[in-house]
Amino acid sequence: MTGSKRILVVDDDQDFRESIQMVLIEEGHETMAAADGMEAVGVYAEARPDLVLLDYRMPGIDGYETFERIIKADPDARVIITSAYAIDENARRAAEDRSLRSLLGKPIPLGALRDAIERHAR
Amino acid sequence: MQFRLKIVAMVAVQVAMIIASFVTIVHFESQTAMAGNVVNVAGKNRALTITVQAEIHKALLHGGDGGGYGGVAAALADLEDNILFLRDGGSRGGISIAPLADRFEAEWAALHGKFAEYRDMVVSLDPPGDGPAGPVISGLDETSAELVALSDALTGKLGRDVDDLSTNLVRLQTALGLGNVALHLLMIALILRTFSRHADQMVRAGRLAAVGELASTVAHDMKNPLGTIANAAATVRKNADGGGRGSEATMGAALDLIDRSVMRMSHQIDGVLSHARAVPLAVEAASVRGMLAGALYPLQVPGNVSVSLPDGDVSIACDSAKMEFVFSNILLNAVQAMGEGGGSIEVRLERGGDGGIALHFSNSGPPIREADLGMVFEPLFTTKMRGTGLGLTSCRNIVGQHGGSMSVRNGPVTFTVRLPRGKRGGGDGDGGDGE
Repeated sequence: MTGSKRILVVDDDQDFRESIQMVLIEEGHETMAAADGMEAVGVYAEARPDLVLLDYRMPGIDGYETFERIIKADPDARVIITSAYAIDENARRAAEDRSLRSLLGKPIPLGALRDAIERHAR
Repeated sequence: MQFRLKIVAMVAVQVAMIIASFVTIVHFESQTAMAGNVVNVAGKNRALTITVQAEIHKALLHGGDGGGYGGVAAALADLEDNILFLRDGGSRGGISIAPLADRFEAEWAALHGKFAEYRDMVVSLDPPGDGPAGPVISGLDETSAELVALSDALTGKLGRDVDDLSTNLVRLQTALGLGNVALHLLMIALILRTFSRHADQMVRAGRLAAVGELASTVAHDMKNPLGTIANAAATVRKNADGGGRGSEATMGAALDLIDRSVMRMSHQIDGVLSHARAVPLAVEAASVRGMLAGALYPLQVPGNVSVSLPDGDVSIACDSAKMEFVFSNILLNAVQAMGEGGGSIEVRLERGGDGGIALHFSNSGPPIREADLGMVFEPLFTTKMRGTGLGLTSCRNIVGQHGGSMSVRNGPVTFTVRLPRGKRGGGDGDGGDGE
């Protein structure tokens, strides 16, 4: 069991955002939230969380653009992109080559979420 | 590519037929014109024979010392030259003729033979002595008359040949014209059939693409509420097992999330079903305010968005579940259109003089692009990040099933749902109009 982490949840779907925060809190983590990419960049700069769960498809700047901005500000940022779209292995590997920690498909199984936090959170 | 080749080939065949027809007609017209020239040349023999006779009479009148017999010889030479030109063909004095056809050989030979006889008689006059005797002149007149008669016979036969050619040319032109029209119609039919088949293929491909796109969008839109349910269920399970740290409020919130996500998915499925088939209406008396409240429940209305519902209420006969779907779609679109900045939504209820009602859903969001205004009710049209492009199409279908109509305008963005009087349900609530 990993220790308590500070995790930023970025998703424009309010219900999904709240529900994943619930799970994370139940798992013993501290959470913060942002509803779009621009807000996420601001929250990250201020709070420097241990891990970011970042939705891919959002209005305004999308998940990848948000990831690029966060990683530019903090090369050691730990970012996992979540997506309702199917994610193939090639895309996963390509993303990881660009310092992206992982890609998780929605709905995120609890086991996969725990594993991702343990492996990638600071 | 194959489709283009087919069309190009058909057009090429049509063009080739038109060119072939044109060349054929030009050829036959040229033949007819040349045959007409032959008639003119043949006809000239009559005039030339008369000229010879006139020269002979003139020479006799003036006597041999006036040099008049030179005129006779020249006229005779012209006549002979014209008779030979008629047989051999060629170009002379701007007139072109073909060699005389074999079928006129007998008439020409008779003409030439008579000319030879006539020439010998004329030549025997030269040089004149004391002038020809009366019988000689008489014989010349008679022979020249026979020569003219033979010339006229040949000219007549040649003329009938030209008439036949002209008739055949007209027939050919008519046949080619009709043939070309028939071919043209056939080509049009073939091209239309090819277009139709191609269009069918395009429509099938378009439908498949649209179905694929729709399936992808629906699948995507289902995963967020599914993820929410999974997360909320995990929270509930953990607390139910005694291992959680959540309060009752957290449990309640998790259950609310499950409830709302199920409603969201149900609405999305309703949207697809409403578009795919017209489900019969379950009509009953329903409160407009009640349906508006029901429509708002599953929505995630942000705190910075104010929603103003009509003060009054009215009961109308409708399928309340479907009408809630309509209102919910319009309200959700308004919330999404206003974005993070928030704003206000106002719903106004208006009663028409005919007993029908109109509901106006206005929001303070940005105007819809003019180019999009006419498209918002079209299937698969969406400007949203998440959307099937079926929501407003389904809304319009449902309202149409009720005998009503939907419209949209800017300034401010207002969607209007008009419903006819229909079979009214119970009382009219408190009777307010909500205006």
